[in-house]
Amino acid sequence: MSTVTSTRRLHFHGQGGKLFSIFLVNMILTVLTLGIYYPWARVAVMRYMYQETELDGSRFMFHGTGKELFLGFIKALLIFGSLNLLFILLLSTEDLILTIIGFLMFYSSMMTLIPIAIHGAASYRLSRTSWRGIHFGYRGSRSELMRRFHLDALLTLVTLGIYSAWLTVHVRRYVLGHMRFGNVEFRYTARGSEYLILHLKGYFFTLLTGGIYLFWYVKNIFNFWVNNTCLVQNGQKISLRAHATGGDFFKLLFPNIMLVVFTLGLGTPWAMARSMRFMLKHITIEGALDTNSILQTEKIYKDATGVQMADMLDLDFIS
Amino acid sequence: MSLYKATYYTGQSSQGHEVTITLRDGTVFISYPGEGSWPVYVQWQFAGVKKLSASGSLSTYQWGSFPEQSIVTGDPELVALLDQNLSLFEKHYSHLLKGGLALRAGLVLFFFGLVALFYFILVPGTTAFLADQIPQQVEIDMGEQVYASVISEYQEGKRLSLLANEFARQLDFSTAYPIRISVVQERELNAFALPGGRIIVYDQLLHRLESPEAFAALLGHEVAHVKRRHSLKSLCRTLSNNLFISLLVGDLNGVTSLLVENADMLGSLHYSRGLEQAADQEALDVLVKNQLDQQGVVHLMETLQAAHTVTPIRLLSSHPLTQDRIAWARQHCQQSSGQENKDLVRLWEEIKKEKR
Repeated sequence: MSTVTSTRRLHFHGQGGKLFSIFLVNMILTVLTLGIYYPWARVAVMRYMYQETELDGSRFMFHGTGKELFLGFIKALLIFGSLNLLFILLLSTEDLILTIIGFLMFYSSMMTLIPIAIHGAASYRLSRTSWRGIHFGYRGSRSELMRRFHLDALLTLVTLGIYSAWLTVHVRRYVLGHMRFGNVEFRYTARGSEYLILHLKGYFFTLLTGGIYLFWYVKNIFNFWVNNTCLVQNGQKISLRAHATGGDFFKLLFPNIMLVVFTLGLGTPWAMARSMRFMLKHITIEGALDTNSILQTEKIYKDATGVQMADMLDLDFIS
Repeated sequence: MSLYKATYYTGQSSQGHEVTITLRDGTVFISYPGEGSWPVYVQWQFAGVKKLSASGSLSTYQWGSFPEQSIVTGDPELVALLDQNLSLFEKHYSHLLKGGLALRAGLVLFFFGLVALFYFILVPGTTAFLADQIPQQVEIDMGEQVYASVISEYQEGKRLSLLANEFARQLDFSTAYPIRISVVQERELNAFALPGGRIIVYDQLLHRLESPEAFAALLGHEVAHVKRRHSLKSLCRTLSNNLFISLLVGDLNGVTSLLVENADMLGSLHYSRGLEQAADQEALDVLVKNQLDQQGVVHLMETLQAAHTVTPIRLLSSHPLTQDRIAWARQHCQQSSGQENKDLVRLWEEIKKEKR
């Protein structure tokens, strides 16, 4: 059987009903343990979503554990907690100099922690993902990411936020570019200017059409992420292509919103399953990807501090 | 000895191998035809086998340290054998998830029952207990801090405050809290109590009241809030409810959070109304204890109602509606009871003389 085909896609086999059961058990155990179960609850959802995603007949696996997430949470809490404490202490002295130092320290540490969180989150999530036993990995350098992020953050400040389009794209380009699937590499070739125009267009047309354009806005964002991403195997490029239309997004989002609102939120698992199935259905992998010759090259990474920090900072770096 | 079929991954490459597996003496024997003419043999210690996933009919198991080897099999006998390694929790967990509609419905009911238990009994019970543990001095200090920031928003009528405090000193409220009254210049009719004993009264309310007994009833009502630590309890209850709710639905989605938070708000209003009713009862008790005319409570309610031009909606009001309170007062207050207190009357006349 030839594994070197020219077009393939991922499939999502998960069902809303199954996910609902997981959510239910999650909530019960979380209440019974007064919240401690929460990291294990998240792992349960991730494991299900991963294992129901299939490529070439094999499923993805998530290796993260509740214990790892819990430890990461404690560490992230300590870091943010002590920063906050220091900040409050400096402010409470009501000394002008100390207060200014406090603000400077707080904002600069936030600036530094964001790239650290992104680095840690990428390392953890990718290392804990595998397919046919081959783990994903992250080869980025924390200091390099920090350097680029600081520069872009400064420019964003100076341009009153406009440069944030470039900031987002640059971060994504760096992270994806250093992502590995065994010995398969990734590339992200988007440009910040395209991203800015995409959002300007989306914002204004949505206003002009009283919201109708929204579905095409979402489609544009989806296309922007997918079409600019590609894999590289043994020097060969394998592209990702998005195939959804604005109308398709309407058929996804509108029923999803109804589903969630009219069930007072209970329908969320079904909406999640629908969305996942939709997205994978509308992405194709085009090129000669040999799924039988991917080699194990990545290292293990079990520290979940970055993931939890990214969570606390509300960062959404890849998905 | 049984032979089972599975797909094996070495953990070094994504190339899968169709293998045959046998189990013997706590060891899993895996073999497959190799590159040349020699078959490849792999051994796993049964105790170290971990289950990675189960989806549909296929189960995945892994063994070893990073990068782990793994097998994927659909053979139910092999799955049953390897699943013996699962912990008790894992076994019950997967059983729960596989359950059909009946089990799922049961889980939903259990969940709602659990939430109801927490929301209506455990959380309020614990917070009331914790609120009661706060030492009185801490509460008084806290009240002073709040008072300091609150009073700066108002213009205080110093003479009226003096008289009001004199008035209050004539009454026995049966409390160890230091009751201190501040009368402030405001057009509305209102009065409220802070934790620790500070009470703020709007001067317009003072002017509208027509008898010293009505004022005594008002003070009795506010002191009840102080004595029973109502604001402290309300605060604790709100905080713990918010914590509980965000624990429960915070991560789900914005719609559910919004709905549940609003439902909780309605619930807390109901709680407030209960407290207000209790304070009304205590106002009556104060009049009785000080041998004053119980109709003072009725007069107080009537004055409050006269000032209301719009009838608020019952569900959204934190006070029981004044009509309800008047009806309650008329029912419970005896007619022509108590005696006149000369000191109170004298002070009341002085208060009445003070105009802004």
